[in-house]
Amino acid sequence: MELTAVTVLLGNFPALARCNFSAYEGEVVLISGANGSGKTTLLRTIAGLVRIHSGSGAVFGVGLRDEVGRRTVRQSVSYLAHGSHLYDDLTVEENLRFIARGTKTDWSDIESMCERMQLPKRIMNLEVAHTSAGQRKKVTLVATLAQGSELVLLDEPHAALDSEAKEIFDRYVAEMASSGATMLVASHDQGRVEAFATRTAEVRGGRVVDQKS
Amino acid sequence: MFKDAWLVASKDLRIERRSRVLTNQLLPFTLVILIIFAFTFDTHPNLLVTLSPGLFWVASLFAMTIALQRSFSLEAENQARDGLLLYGLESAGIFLGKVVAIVIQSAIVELFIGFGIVILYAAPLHEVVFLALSAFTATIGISCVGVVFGAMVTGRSRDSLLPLLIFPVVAPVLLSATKAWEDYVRGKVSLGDPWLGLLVVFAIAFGAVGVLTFGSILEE
Repeated sequence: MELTAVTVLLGNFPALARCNFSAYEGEVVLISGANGSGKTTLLRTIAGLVRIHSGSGAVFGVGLRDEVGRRTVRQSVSYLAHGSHLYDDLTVEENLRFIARGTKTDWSDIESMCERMQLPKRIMNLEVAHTSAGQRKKVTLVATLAQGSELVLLDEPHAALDSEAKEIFDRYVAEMASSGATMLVASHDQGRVEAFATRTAEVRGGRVVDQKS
Repeated sequence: MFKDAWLVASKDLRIERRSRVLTNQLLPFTLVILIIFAFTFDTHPNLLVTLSPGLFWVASLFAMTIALQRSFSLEAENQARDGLLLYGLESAGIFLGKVVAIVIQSAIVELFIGFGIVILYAAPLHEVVFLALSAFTATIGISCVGVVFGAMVTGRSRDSLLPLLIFPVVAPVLLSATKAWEDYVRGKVSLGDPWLGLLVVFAIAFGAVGVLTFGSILEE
């Protein structure tokens, strides 16, 4: 994927300002930066969720400028966002089944990911509104990772997870990376991500200002 | 598209069944409206029966507006709307799914209001097929408009704009529905009623506009 001189406006505010960034197959890129620097907007842009005001961008060779291109990109990436995308009034299982049907993910893949992330079976029939923040995060991780996309965008994946869940998640991400998936991880938990990241990109003022391998 | 529509509709209906907004809030709300109308207009004999078509549609529109606001507040929670986009669901499917869920909820509310009018206002009940057809087509037309505007105004304290946007646009539908039901009250109805025909045209036109524009609206 590649962004060239991309500007994204949130209202009149340039959340990304002539931002250049690229990532290639099998890379795990840690995206670091202060609060409000543009990390989340960078990931949302790559996920095809926001319009590009100027510049150009492509994911798997599909342009991000037009609506049809963004729709195609959205279907080919997995994105763990700040919001869980879950419905509070549905149970965990109902949410996961809805996502599985929408993304055409096999239910068996969801089940094995639940086991992998040690999601307790007893919460499957619990409404999401009654789960803890950590449990919700695990459910969202299960839904994101089970899709098996070649480009995975993770925004603060460690937030709200306990130390055991963080270990499990890190091991899984390392495995995914070694199998050739590309991962962009925005995180303040830099020490953890640096352990398996192949590159670090720092975002400041809506631009990627520094990249280190 | 239809598979996505059913997925979205069944999800919305399951949430409604679980949260019981329809039974605990919408139905009591419409009952209160009917009682207030009864107190306000029960000054002359038969006045309530004469006004009942208009009262029915005003009460239904209020209830539908609440159902629409609720339908889109669900998508604002936890950024679920982004989820719908990321899952690759067809925008036309999302639109139709939302419309189907709103139409089913509205049909239950309208049935309740209809019985309320028959019981509280002693309105006559005949030509049920005509009543059901005109209510169904008007509800589809209003729902299509409501879902398009609902998607536009979701979140960031803009929800209160919904009635302001919907009411002027659905005015022709309400007028046609009320006229059709006035013909019914006068005992001059047939399935060839021109107002019923107009309601069908509105439902198809608003549905087509929604299917064609919903993708761009969701992207905003």
